[in-house]
Amino acid sequence: MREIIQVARGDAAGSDTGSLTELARVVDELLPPLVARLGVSDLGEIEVRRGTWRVRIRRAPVDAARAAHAAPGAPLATSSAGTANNGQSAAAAVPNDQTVARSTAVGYFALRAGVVVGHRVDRGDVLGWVDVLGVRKEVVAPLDGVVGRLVTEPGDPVEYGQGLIALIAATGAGAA
Amino acid sequence: MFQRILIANRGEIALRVLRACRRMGISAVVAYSEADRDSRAVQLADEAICVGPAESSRSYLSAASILSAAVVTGCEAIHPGYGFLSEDDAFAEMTRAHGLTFIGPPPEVLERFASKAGTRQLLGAHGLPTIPGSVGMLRDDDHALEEAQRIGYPVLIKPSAGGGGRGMRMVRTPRELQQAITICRSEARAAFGDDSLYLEKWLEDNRHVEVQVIVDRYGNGVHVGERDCSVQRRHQKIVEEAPSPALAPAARLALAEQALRAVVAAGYENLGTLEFLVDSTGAFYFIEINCRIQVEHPVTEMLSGIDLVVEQIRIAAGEPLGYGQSDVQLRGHAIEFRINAEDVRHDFRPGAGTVERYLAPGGPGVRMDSHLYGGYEVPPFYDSLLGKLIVWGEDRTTAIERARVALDELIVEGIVTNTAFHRAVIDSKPFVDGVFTTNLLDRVGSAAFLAAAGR
Repeated sequence: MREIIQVARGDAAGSDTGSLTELARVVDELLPPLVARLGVSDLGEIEVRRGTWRVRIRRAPVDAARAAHAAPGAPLATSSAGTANNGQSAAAAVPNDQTVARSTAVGYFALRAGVVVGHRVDRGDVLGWVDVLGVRKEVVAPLDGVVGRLVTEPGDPVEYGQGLIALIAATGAGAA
Repeated sequence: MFQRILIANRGEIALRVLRACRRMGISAVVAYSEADRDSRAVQLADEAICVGPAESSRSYLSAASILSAAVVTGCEAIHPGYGFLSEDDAFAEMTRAHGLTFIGPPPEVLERFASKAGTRQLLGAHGLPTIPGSVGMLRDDDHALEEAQRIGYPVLIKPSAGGGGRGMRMVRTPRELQQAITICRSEARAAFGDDSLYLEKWLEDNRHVEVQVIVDRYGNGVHVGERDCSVQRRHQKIVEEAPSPALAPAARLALAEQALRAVVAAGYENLGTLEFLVDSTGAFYFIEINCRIQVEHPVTEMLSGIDLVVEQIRIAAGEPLGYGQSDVQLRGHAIEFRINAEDVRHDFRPGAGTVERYLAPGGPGVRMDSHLYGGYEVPPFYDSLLGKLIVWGEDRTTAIERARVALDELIVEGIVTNTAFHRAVIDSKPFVDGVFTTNLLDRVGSAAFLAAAGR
């Protein structure tokens, strides 16, 4: 499924630290269930207001998703939100071929504390480890994005090349 | 007995070990590299686990990856096959340290037999004649020249850490020695990470005869006769047979008995092969021991009816041998042909690609150990062995006749093979007469040999 995620300030107040913290909470706690809800529903769009922030996700038209593909590496909506002016919104289209952080070793998979669905990551961030006979081999984010789904449960044995964490790529298709 | 074994190899030997596991009711996990995802062993395995990329240093040669794969899949033992980690004492030690069993000699035995020079000394002390060679490793060029002078030219320069005929060079003069030694050192360093070299007297027209032994943990041992591997090209075995046509029955028996006595006395354990050079007078010299299952083991299985891989697993599990020398009966004659992806007409250049069609030969006394199937893509990253055709007959003549039929029946399309070269070998006078020597193909030149055979 493709979604467009839109996060915007719902009031005219200037940006401050408090509302940025709130934004982080919105992204971490609100987005994952919303994406999941949209995925299993017949709805075309869901909008939620939380504090001063408004989150709207809707199914992406095919051309928007294509545009998202064409602009890899563009900043994720939320990563630029801190510098965004009032009322501005940014959207990220999520391609259905989510990029996956893979195991580079054989061993047991462990997730880094704080890495949960919806968690925002930058390329190269350590997301977890594969324990190879007591030696930790890092699992890093292959791109900037948001943790979309755990492909492998922490504690499970993994092989080389196995998909561990699906990421939703950060793209700036709808960025103003 | 083990419930579950990790097979840490690829190609035909992974399949061979898998078959032994099946027979014994042991669950088999196949460790594979990304290049071997579609291999026959992976398809047949009870479980398969990818251990790394195509590059063998990061997959089949990665001790940590292999061991971790065994741990996470719940295996109790690791079968290393041949090559790769099969004779690595450090790996065997690591395996034991993690509470697993290395299917092969225990680490301290592997360590004792790790150095070729040390092994010659050890088994020499237990009564095996060895080829005149340098005392210890070559320190420098002067030492090499001095030792070569003492041994007498021609001499063979050999890397201590080498195997499978790799990195060896024969030199006839001091000048050649000086030139070759630098190359040998850098080759040995690149290939084995160890540039220790030693010298050995080069026996001009020799035969390669090796003795198969099985020794359990309690010092019970048997030999399973010898194999003759004199058909070689650049020190690589191509055709192997048993019994050796080079030796009379009494001489063969004497060689095998002497070899067994020496290794048992030296504390060897599990499957082993002692390699000898036999000169034109029938005198034999011990050259090295292989502490693993060998490519050519089926030749011995055909004669003895003993499943050597099963024996290897049983002994590693601590079972006693359970039979004695008089129970080992060798019957008939067997010949093995290594079917390689090699372009004989272009200097045996290795090939790769998709096998479009594969049909194995059959009939009485014919065995084909191969991992090929129609549509299989032979990866370019590993050795060129596609399989082994083994034929058995009541006598050598019958075996050769069956070999002709079987070689002609074998169909491998889509990739180039050396099958026609085998046909030329068994039709050649030296082979039919049983007088093939290890240097024959290189002396005549493989191309000239093929041309003379009219192929």
